[in-house]
Amino acid sequence: MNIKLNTRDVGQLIERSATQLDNNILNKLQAARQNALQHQRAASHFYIPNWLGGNVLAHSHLHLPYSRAGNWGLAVLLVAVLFGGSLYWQSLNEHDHAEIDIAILTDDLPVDMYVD
Amino acid sequence: MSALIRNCFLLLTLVGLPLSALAQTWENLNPQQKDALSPLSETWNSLSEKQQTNFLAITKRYPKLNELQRQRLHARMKTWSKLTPEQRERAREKYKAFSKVPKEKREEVKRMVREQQAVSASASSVPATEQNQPR
Repeated sequence: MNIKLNTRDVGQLIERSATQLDNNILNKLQAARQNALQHQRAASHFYIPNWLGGNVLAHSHLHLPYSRAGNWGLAVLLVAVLFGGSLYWQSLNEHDHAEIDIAILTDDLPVDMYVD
Repeated sequence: MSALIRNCFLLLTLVGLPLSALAQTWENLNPQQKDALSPLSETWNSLSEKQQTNFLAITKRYPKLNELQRQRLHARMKTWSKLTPEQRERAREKYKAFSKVPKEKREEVKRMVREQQAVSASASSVPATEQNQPR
């Protein structure tokens, strides 16, 4: 027995079987759907860029819980990384300048020799 | 996403504002820093934050300098502080370039400069009346 079904046939079969379900099961299914929709709405506020793995997470079954605290946490992390990076860069620059400045200021040749 | 950006902006403002007020007054410097920066005591508070930071970085190396180097540093600090940032940057570039010149050449230049300085020093020590006398 080889019956070929297209997507339309499958849709009709599902609809027909749904009408035959008893109310108790229908109510449970509806509650589960509402629950899933609410969960999806909350999760959609929490944006993760693709380069940070958002693409992978979007296609996986892992759901990150959205919360204000989580958002603040990510903001603090980003600011800390930015701040740390700028401090590191600044300290490298300062170190470099101080080395040369002190060499110029204590050199055998006067400062005028290096100034235009 | 917008909440995240807003939070980042708020945090950067909160962190950035106090940092911008980190410029140190002369009174806040410790005795070691004051000793190293003594030629700048009168002008310190008017220096830019960046200049202050640069000079404070120099003070960290001050204890390692010998007496001659300390004298030179103190004698040149005022001149250095009066230069524009562009002039200082140019001077650094020139110093770096000069450091790459072979040692013999550098010594030769230094000898020439010393001779020139000696000549100008002896010329300035000659009394003005003597210089103006007709030959």
